[in-house]
Amino acid sequence: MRRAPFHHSALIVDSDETLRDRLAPLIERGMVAHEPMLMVVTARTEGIIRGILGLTATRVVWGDSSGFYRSLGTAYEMFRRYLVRQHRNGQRVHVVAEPSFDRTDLPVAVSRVSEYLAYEAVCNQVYAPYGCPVTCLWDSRSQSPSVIDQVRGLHPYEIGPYGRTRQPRFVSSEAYLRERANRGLGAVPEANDLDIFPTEDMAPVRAAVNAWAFSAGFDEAMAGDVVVAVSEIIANAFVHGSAPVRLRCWRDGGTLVAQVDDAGGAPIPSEAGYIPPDNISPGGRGLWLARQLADVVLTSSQNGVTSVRLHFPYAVTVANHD
Amino acid sequence: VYTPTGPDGLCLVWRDGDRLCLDGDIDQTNADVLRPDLIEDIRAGVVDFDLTSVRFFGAAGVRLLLALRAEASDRGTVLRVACAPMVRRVLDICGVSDHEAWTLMGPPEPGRAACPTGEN
Repeated sequence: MRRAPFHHSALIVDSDETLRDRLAPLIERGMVAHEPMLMVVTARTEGIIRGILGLTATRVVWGDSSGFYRSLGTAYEMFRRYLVRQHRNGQRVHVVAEPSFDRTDLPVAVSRVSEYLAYEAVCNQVYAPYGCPVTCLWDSRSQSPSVIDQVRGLHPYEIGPYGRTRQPRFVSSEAYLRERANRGLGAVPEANDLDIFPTEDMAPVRAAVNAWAFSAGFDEAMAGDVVVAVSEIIANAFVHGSAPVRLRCWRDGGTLVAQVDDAGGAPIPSEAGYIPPDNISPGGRGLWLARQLADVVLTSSQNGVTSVRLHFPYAVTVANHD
Repeated sequence: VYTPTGPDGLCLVWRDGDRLCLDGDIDQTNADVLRPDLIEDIRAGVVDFDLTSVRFFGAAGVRLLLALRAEASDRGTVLRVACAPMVRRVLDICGVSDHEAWTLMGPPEPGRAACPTGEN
């Protein structure tokens, strides 16, 4: 049997009137159709919608948007697990999500928004089996025109003035991820806290990374996240790449950054670490773990070197343990 | 009986009554070395695993435990696995915690409600 299309829609907000003219009617239509709705939006958007809808707003479930301050991979996976539970219970819930990206201490040069767009791409495939429509609010007053342009391309539908329409400029997630896979990582600072050429015996490397994270004020559990993610990337470098493998670690403001290079130069499959592993298969969990534990994870393979750079903003790493 | 396994005794394995205890790091250098002996132990009737002293646990550890779980599943038994926080965290993140062939002990990850078997 052919599966119903996954209604992953973008709603571009350029004014409060757009919320009134596009989001409020969407909710009202859902209520008329007895379609349960989960709203995970900013406090500001919630206030505006409650003001417009009055009592109708009480029929919507208002979720907690603090999940967006966990690592990006975790935020995306928490949504997926919610959809799995609804699907298992035979429920079709329309999820309206408004990602928020401020309030982290990532270096300014590193774009959380850009990394989140990879998850917008891959969820076209990953969220599709659960039969729940997902509508994403993106505010063009706080995002660049280029980001809004990419957002449109990554959603097969858009909520316009007359409701949901198909997006003619939709880009497949494969094409999008492939294109972004080789953007390059930017320079590594000349002075690092750690600069190690690990061997396959990684106990000493793990001890060094653990001590480094401790010295930056990470507690035992948070340092454990850094150690696991870095170890997985090094293990992958030995399995899929080739020696010498080099680990460099540095601090950028409140963010711990770790980069692993190997001399294989093999490209990392563009979807690696974005597709949830199943409950049975033996392999394919290293990059998944890294993308869940770290926040922004950048990869590149250029000039015969394959690199993975992991970012652990302090606040995000704390929130990942809430 | 202490059985050092892997480089520099990365992980120690010993029996404590009916329980099998693992102490140390489980990674890609020793997971495959540990597996045949642990599977033999399950065939000999061991169902209790104490991983509360495991310090490092990643994808290779998940792969090892899934092999043990598959063995238990084939035998129709249910493993009881006591987890260090790191072990539980990694299993929960990988979505393998819920399965009829094992019961994980140790607090589950906050905010990471487990995925039902076969749906992820």
